[in-house]
Amino acid sequence: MITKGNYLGEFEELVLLSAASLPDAAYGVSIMHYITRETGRHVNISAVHEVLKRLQRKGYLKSSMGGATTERGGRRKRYFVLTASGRKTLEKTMKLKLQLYKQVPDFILKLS
Amino acid sequence: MTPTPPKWADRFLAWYCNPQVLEEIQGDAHELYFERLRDEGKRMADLKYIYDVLRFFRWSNIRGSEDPYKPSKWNMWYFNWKVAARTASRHKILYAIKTIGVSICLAFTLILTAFVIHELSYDEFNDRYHRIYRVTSRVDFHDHITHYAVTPLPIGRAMLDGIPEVERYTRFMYQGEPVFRVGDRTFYKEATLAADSSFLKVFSFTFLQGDNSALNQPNSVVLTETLAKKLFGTIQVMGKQLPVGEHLLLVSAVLKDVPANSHLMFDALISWDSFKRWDDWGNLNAYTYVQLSPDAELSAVKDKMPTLLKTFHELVAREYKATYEPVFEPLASIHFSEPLDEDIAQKGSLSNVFILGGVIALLLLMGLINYLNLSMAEVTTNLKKIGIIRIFGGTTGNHRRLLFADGLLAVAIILPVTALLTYAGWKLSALYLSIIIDPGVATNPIYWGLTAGSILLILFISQFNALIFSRPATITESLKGMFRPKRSGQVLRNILVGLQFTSSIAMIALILVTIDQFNFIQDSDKGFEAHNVVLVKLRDAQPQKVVTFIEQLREVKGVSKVDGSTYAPGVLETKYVFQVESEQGMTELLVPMIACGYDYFDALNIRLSAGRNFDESHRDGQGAFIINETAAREFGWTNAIGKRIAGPVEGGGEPMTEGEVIGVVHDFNFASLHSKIEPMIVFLAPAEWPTNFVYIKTHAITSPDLISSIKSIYDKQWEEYPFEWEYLDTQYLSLYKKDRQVRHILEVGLIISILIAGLGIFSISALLANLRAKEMGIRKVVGATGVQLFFLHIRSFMLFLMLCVVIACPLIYALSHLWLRNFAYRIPLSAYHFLMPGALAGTILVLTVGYHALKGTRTNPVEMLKYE
Repeated sequence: MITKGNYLGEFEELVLLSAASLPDAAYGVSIMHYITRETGRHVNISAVHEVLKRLQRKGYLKSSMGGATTERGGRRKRYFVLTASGRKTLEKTMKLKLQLYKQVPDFILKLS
Repeated sequence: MTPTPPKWADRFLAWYCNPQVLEEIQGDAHELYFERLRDEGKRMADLKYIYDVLRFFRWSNIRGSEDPYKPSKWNMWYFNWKVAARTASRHKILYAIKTIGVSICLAFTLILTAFVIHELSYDEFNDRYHRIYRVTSRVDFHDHITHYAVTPLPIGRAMLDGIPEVERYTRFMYQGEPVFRVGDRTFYKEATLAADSSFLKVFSFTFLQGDNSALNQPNSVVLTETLAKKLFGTIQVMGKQLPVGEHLLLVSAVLKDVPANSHLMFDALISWDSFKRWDDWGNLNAYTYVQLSPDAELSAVKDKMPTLLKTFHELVAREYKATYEPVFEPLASIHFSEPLDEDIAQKGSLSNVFILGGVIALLLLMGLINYLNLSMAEVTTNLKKIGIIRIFGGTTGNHRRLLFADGLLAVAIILPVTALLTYAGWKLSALYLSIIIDPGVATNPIYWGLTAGSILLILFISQFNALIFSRPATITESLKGMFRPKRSGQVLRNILVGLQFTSSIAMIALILVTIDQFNFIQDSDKGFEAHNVVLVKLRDAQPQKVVTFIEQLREVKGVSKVDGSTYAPGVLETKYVFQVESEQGMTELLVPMIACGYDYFDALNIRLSAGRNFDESHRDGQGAFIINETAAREFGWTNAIGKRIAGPVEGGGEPMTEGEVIGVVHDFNFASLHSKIEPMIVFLAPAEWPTNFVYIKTHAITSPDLISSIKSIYDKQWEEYPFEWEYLDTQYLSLYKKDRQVRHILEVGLIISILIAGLGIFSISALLANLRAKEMGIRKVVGATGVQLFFLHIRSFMLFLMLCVVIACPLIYALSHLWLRNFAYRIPLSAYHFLMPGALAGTILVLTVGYHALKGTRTNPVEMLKYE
């Protein structure tokens, strides 16, 4: 597959984490709201969709269409679930970040 | 009623969005809309909804893009390309042979096609070429007919005045190669015509300077671009003075060089009125062209000719006892028509074009078959691997796409290499083989059609594998134990290899025939010795000066014989009326003649078959004639010695001299062997006759400064004229220029075909050796010797080759006959021409196949038999 290695971008990571934190309820709007609520960042729904698609192509998420709804003109939602490889990648990135973070000298952290 | 998002934005979304993702996108957008409607009010919600719809307008959401949740199919292509490239780099040599082989063939055929189209498109660069006709003269002298390319001078004018269908006429005379002077430099190799003012209006030459009124004024000269640059170094030469011969001319226009596919070739045009001429019906010396009005029929013009030429017909009947008939040649057909008397047109031969067409077809076939053979061999060796891939879930479609990518990769290599080779070949052939193809051919729609056709053919051939080998049946077959090619596949390959063999053999045979024919022409008994003869051309042949020149040359060390003559090979011969003795008294005949000195026959080593040579001690003077054997035969003389001849008769007057035949010489052929030997009357040049050509027979071993000593003698006589000389044999060979071109082409074709055939056989043999390795190993174990195995490997090819020799025979016969028809004197086809190519192909075969055979016999059988 043509990707620049198995790296996660910052926003990709955010979306992946959000999707992981919303078991059985991760779809476009809910992920968007979750990010806004947790980080205070306002993101556009189309950006979320784009990243979700990308993550699925990379194999970190899989998706399926949910049942019919009442609140949005009867249109179905696409729910996203973390895959095994997604979970592994997420763990690896987090571990790597922690590992790097731990090596930062204390005083710099205190300054900030 | 609940509010809804703006209808148009919703519709826009539904219009552009990929249906596969429309539902979720629209759903999310609507959900957000209703949230905002509740929190922020309708206005804000509407605006934000519109903003969202615009933001969703992304490449991956647009209708027509693939399923955004699946990996792109371009990824698959990327993999296929990668696999194809890896296969190519694994068998680098085989791959190079395959692609470069087909590129060479394709490039060669493209150049040849250009050459053929060049030949076929002669004179079509003229805008009105289909309305332009050349008028030629067919004169029936009752005992023979002569067809002249020239006409009486006034005929064009008469046609314009008397026939309404004739819109324009033009005429010109050939002025030879006069001396151009610029400062103290002289130029004397420029073909020059004296042309009517309408010349530039009838023919469509391109002007760089000036316009088509350039020849209206007397003493004007029109130069070609090349000549202008040669003379002045620039094309800004309008109005410059230019002394040409005895005239002082003004440059009035510069033309772009005459296209290479023009039957008329010239470097300069001088206006017709610059010369004083005997503008009379009796002067049969002008080349005349008429242009008809757009809707005129040629037959209507022809019908009016007899009444128009009534008085002229009477004149011809009275003066020459002959009948005159004008013949019209369409401009575009002049190139291929029979060469006429006094013709200066560039002539080609249709049979040369045919034979080149044959070569094109053979080579293209060979290249494609070679490619096909090699790629089939490559795929068959890979079949097992593909079978395994299939088991692991590869689909037929996937495999087909893989082979498709493989073919495309090959085409991606072949096309640029071909383009490069074609360009290089085009330039090189112009440089080294003097095969000039007009660049206009490259823009010819037919040429583009054929080029596109061959590219399509290559594309098709490159996909051939994809069509055949991706069938599921082939794959399952390949997995059942050892790979065994199916009977039909084997037959197909045999046919392909057979075709390749046959065409190689035919090519080799063709080139052998042409080489033989050329040797025949060069070594055949021309009746005179061309070796060691220097021919000096005189521009100013004042008899006094010529005699002094010849006298002084006789003193030079290394010169054995010197004499002057009125004739040289390749020079337009003029026929004169002679009266010769016959049973009905003296009959008038038109016969070519040569006037010369005493030593002429000795200098050229022409042998006598009866009588004696001109001899000073016999006081031979005017009245002594020598004729050739053909003349004796045509005049009906069994014993020619002592028969009476009078002539030449000029302008219906009295014969110049009268006398008898003193000797008969063997036929000597000054014209090319394309034409038959004509009768010839030779007599001693009267003192006042200019002899324009001096023949100098030198000793076989001469000092290198002989030419310079001849030049110093020449310069003493003619300081003002350049010294022009040539060896007679080179001059003679130049008569075969077109044939030599064909020979060069065939030689290159031979090398290419041997190369391709060799490469093809080599790789097929490699495949076969591979397939039969186990068999060979077993044979070796049970006691076969190396020699036996060697012949076993070669035998299968040899049998095949013999079959192909048989198949090639009719092809060789037909093609070489077609070409030989060009020559009046030709070699007979012999068994040699049929068997030798086969032997040659056999040698190539043994050399290439032998490598693998030898390798097989020298390998340890254990290596062959062990299974990995």
